[in-house]
Amino acid sequence: MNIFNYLSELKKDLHLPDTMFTSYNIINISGNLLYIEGHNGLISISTETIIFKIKKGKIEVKGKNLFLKILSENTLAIQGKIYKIEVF
Amino acid sequence: MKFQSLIEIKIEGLNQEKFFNKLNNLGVEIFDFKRLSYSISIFKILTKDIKIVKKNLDSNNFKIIYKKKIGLNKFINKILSSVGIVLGLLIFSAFLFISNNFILRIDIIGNQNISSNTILEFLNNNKIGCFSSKNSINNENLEKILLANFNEISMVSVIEKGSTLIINIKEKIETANSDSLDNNKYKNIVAEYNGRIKNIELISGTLNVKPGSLFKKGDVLVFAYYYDSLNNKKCIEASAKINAEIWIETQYTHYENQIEKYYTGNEITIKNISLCGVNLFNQEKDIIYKNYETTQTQTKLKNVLLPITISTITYKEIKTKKITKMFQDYKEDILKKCQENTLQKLLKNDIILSENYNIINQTNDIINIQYVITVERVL
Repeated sequence: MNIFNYLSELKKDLHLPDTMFTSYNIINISGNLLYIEGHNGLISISTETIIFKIKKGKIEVKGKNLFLKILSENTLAIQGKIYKIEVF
Repeated sequence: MKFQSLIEIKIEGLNQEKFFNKLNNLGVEIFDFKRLSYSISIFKILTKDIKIVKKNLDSNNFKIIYKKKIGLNKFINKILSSVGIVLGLLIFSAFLFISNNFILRIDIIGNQNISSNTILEFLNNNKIGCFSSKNSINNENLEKILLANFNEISMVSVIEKGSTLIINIKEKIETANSDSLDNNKYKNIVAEYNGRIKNIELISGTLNVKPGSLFKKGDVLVFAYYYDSLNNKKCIEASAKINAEIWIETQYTHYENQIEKYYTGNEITIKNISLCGVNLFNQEKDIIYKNYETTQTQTKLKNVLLPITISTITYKEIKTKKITKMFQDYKEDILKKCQENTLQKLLKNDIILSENYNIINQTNDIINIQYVITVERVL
């Protein structure tokens, strides 16, 4: 599910190569919504921490009152107060 | 998402991440996934995915705490479960159907001389009225029909506004100078009595008489037209101040020999008793009178269960006698009666000029009396 065309617009406007978009893309909207493209499944979910797999590793999102606004095969949106995003 | 059909599910079970990853791989989209505790979660799915989710929940030993429909699904469900709303919708739909497809009111505007009822009657005869289908009414055709059938209409427009048919009429303006020769509208001044013109002052129209002219009842005194400078005949209201001598007459016929009938006082009464039109009892008596009159009365018996009717026919004997009334003996009474009858025909402002009478012997015993009062009257 492609909610925003933001990434493709960005790629087009800044003339970015396709090689830059091989793994995952994260957009943080005002620290209240995190939009992720290219996840490979959930590892852990709670109201404070959501961990999910990416192609070569995992991403840990920390915050408050977190929940998955959308969870589909390739994309997910996390809503809540986002404090920290760590890539391992 | 607001108008999508969604189902909210609350589940209880372990290893939920594995379960949701499995659903993702099966192409199931999950919305508003909240983990309330380690083993309890709430999430929403599209209605179309419920079978897949349910199957996987069962196979992974998850317990469904509750399941409820939300979004469009919930809205439809709520409406269908409410009889009042459904009934209201049906009535509204029926009303909408009627108001969109039928004429419920006909408004006629701009008519002054033609009454609205006349037009409505005409429309009814042409099968146009309340509850007529809008499709059956062709506005242009209706305008043409109205113009063709009403001479008084100069312009007409027919429009449909909602469920109302509006007929806007502009009537023809006819003035005294109109070229129209409509004789029905302008009427001549016609004499109602015999008489003689004393003087006449024409206001409008054409004179047919002059001072001193004699006229009979039915003669035209003033025509309702005039000729203009180009000798064109033009209709106009006939009007004049006419002062005339009028002869007001009363005719009376006196018969010197008259046949008068009288009752002798003898009578025979025959009674019949019937039940529901079937005669139960017939009284039989011979009618011995040569001339008689009959009167019949019917009485329905009250306080009796059966509808019994008693009819009574009374035969009254009549005899005739010849009476001779000589005219000379009754002359004064007859003339007085004739005078009274003639005076009753006079108007308030009439001035009586003279009174006279003629006696004409038609045959030996029939005498005609003509009583004439000459009055001066302003017509």
